[in-house]
Amino acid sequence: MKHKFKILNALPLVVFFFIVLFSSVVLYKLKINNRSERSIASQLIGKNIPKILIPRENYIKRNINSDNIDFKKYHNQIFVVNFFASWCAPCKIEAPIIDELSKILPVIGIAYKDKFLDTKNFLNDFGNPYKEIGIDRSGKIAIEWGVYGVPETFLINKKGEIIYRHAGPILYSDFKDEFLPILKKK
Amino acid sequence: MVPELGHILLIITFSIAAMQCVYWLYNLKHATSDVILFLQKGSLINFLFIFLSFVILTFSFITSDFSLLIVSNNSHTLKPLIYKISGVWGNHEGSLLLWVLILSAFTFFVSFNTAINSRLLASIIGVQTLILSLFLAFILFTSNPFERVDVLPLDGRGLNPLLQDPGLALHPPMLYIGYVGLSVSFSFAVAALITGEINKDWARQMRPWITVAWCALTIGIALGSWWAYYELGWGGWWFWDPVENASFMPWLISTALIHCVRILEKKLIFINWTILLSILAFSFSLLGTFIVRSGLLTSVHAFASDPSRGVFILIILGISIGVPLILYTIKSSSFNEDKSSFDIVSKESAILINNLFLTTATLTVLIGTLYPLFLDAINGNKVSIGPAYYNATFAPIMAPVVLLMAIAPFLSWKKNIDKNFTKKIMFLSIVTFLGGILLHLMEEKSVFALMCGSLSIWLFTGVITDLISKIREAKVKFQNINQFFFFISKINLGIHVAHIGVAIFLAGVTGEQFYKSEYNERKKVGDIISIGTKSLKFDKIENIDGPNYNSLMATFTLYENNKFVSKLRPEKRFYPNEKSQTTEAAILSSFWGDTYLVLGEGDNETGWSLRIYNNPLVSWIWGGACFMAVGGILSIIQNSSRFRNV
Repeated sequence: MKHKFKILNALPLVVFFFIVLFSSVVLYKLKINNRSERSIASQLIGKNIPKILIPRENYIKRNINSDNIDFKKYHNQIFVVNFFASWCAPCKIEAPIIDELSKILPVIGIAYKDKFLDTKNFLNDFGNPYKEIGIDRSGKIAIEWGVYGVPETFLINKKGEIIYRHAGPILYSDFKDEFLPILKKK
Repeated sequence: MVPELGHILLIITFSIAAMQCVYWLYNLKHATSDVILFLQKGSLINFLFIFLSFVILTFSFITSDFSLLIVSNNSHTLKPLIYKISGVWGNHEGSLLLWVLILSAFTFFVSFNTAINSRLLASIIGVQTLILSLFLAFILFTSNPFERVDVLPLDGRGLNPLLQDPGLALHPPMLYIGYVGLSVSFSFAVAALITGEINKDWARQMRPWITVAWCALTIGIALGSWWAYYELGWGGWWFWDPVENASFMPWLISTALIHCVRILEKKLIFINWTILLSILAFSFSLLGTFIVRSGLLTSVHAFASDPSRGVFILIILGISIGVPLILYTIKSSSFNEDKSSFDIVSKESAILINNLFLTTATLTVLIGTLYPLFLDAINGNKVSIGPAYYNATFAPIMAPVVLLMAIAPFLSWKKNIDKNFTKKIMFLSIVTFLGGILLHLMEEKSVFALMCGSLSIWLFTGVITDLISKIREAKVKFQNINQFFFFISKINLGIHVAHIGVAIFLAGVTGEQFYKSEYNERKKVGDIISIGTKSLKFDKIENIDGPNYNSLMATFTLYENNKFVSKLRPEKRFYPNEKSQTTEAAILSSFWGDTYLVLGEGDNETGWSLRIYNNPLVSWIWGGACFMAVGGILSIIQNSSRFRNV
């Protein structure tokens, strides 16, 4: 038989296999993990929340002329601002945690570069834990807040200062190890 | 309604393509003329439908149908017509549709190449259609160009102003023809692996397709680099940016392939290597698409990126490269090669060495491109690899290639029979040595400048010497034009022209890299700036309105040896719709070099900051690329049957 299998002929396949493996790891990290985002500290920690008006979206009565989210309502209490989007896969992962969070604190959602119907469907599918929802069609609000990508979550203290920022989806471990200790301290 | 028609056409095409694939796999063992006919008709319909769908998308851009998401995101009513059209491929979804359109066109053309034996042809169409259906699925499931918006916007967001440029309107289509063209040789290789049928004819049929793709890649890359040169305002022409590398790697591999397949055409050796190169070349094209489209690498060029699509592209890559490589692993030891030996000093050896160096060079570029990613994935360190790395690794590897390029055409197949071989090399060395001394006397620069310049002279002399000796050996007298053409068809003029192109390119690189001078000035209106023998007078600065931008335009008069040469008008353009600014450098191109003038920030009181470059021979870089492409086209024409039958 001329079918003599040569081990050298498998070399390209092996090299390719490793490249694919490595690319998968990089992609996985780009999607789920946010180490690179975390390593960039938010400039806003300890500062007041940006004074930019956020148009409020009412998902039950669309026709209502939406006004802006009024943060003064939340004066003297700790609250959460969560940037999310229906097109963002990690947002789906963190949806149950945001739900948990909303049982302790008021959570304001800001839909980043999203379309009305998509956001509505997203909330139908994954529940609506938000006290209020604002929309950021152009992405300008996210720039003011220094958002790196969605999802991103901010904790605001009673004085209206940002005390903590979490880039990327909040996993249950993050919730337990990072959010709860901060809340206990305050 | 019209865009929905386009969408439906794509869905139908996807179904047909998928059906064709199943049909092909089912009839893998017996490729009758019926099977071929079915596949041919399918390819025709696929091509027509995708073409129609592309026309519909273009129509939506021309009529500014902002109910389509990509039109509202990438177009604007005030945009000039040509940029409305080029806006079709100035974004992710549209560029993929263009990719698929070109793929279906290539599939259609190759399917009517009946000179190929039928089993091979069926598999070639089959593999092409398989890739086509994978990419159609990618478009339909993750990046539908016909997606509508919920809220109709009043006007579009416009196209990134940097991309509103004639050079860049043509750059993506050319590059894509190159990328996708390599799919044909890939399909040839995979079909050979599947059917086990490989012979000299296989190589002969495949070569023109590689050459077409290679020419398009050459022109595409040159256009991109030309655009970067005059539009980005940095004065450079190549930045070793990951996206540039992504287009350069398939070029290097296909260059190796063009040479290698010539050996296979002469005698049946290096089968495995040729097959592997064909698979690699297209893999690098896919990698190029992957790198640009997935956001895997962030770079200045990543205009349309989105990580969520990366997974899908990775799956496509896995199937379309992984499966052929598995086939290669199993089948590659079963091919029968000719038993033939060749001397160290022969064409075969020269091409083998050329292949070795070209693939090594590709590897260094690949490592330079992926290493920063690799490091980031492992320990989060962020590094960027710049020209310093490539100058130290890539350039030394390419130098022997150029050295060899000059003398390889002297050699014959199997063994050297040229008695004047040593004489020719002596002649080359002397000319190069004298040229080097002349270069050194003209302007003293670094050793590298001298080496780079000498290489160009070496190669130029080599090609000319070869041409002259070929003419002498033929001992023809050109009494009429027919005899001349007959002679031309006998020698491989395409090779000479392409190699001259490399010499011209190298001369351009030498001028631009080592002999350029840069001036940074801050001047007011009325001032005179002197640069070498030239001087520039700052005449005025004013606001001017363009079709979709406002421009701040300065006017300068360029004098050389106190004689008027030309007016130079650098601009800063502001695009209100996109809220962004571009710098339009004023470039006066001439044969011997460019004067490149960029207007910076400033005001009339304190003066305006200006950057002026003197770039000798810079246009030779793109001129050289044109010569290479023309050489490729010539060699296709020469190999077509018309000339062979003369």
